[in-house]
Amino acid sequence: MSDDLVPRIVAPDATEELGGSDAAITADEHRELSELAALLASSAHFELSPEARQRGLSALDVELSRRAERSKQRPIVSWWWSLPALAGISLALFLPLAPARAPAPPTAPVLLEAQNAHLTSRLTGAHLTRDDLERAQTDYRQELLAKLGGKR
Amino acid sequence: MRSKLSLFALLLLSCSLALACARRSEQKAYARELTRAHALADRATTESERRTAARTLEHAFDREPEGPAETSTPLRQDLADRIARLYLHTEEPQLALTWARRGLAITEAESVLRATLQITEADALEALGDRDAARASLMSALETNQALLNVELEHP
Repeated sequence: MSDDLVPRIVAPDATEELGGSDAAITADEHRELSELAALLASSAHFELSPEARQRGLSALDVELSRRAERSKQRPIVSWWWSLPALAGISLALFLPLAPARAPAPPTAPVLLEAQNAHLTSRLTGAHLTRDDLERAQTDYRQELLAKLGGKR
Repeated sequence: MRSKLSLFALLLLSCSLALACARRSEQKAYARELTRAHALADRATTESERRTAARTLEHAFDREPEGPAETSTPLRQDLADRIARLYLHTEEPQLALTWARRGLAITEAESVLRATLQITEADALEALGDRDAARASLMSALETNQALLNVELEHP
């Protein structure tokens, strides 16, 4: 608390010492400031005793040493922190994700046309053989199997 | 510590690759099994051969499908339709109807094979003597097919 810059004695006309330069201080102000200066001069009252200071410094030293030791043993960024990320990646790789809706199957324009002709003929009373329809269905089946087996 | 992490990452990568390869080979095995079952049905000419082929296809239908749903779902619908067709040939329309409906129950999504299954359902109903229900199934098939064909023509 003690400060060498704080004046110990205040002269009645010591305006510059107090940082002022306009007017001389009054007798009351001089008295109050003198009391304050006297109080500040007895700095030992505001400071810790040497024993207490020593105890505080020792405690601080112990605490700082302990922290330094702990930070050496346990680094701030541990590799364990990467586990949630690895778990997320593993989940993304291993778990089959359920699609929000069923994906559209491959289109089959030839089968659609063959089916349309077959249905139209049946509903109008005409009788076509199923040959074209079965051929188109077989082709579509081959296409699906090839896609599943990775042939294309 | 860093070497352990690298080892763990390498292990994870190896596991992922092994799993991906295993999945791919399972898909291929599934495709091969379906191809064999269909080939058996292609060759079947007698009633007994058709029944054997139908049972082989049923076995393929009942197993867990492999591969993406966009491929495995139509393949299972096609299996059900093929089984139903074989039972129509062996003059067992009730079994044919059951299998057509099992195929229709796979998904309610509109697709070309849903229309195919509705045609087979109509044939089974007709063989069972229910002409009105058969006509209703044919009309449903036409609606499904027509809607898909319109989409196909608009966005080829």
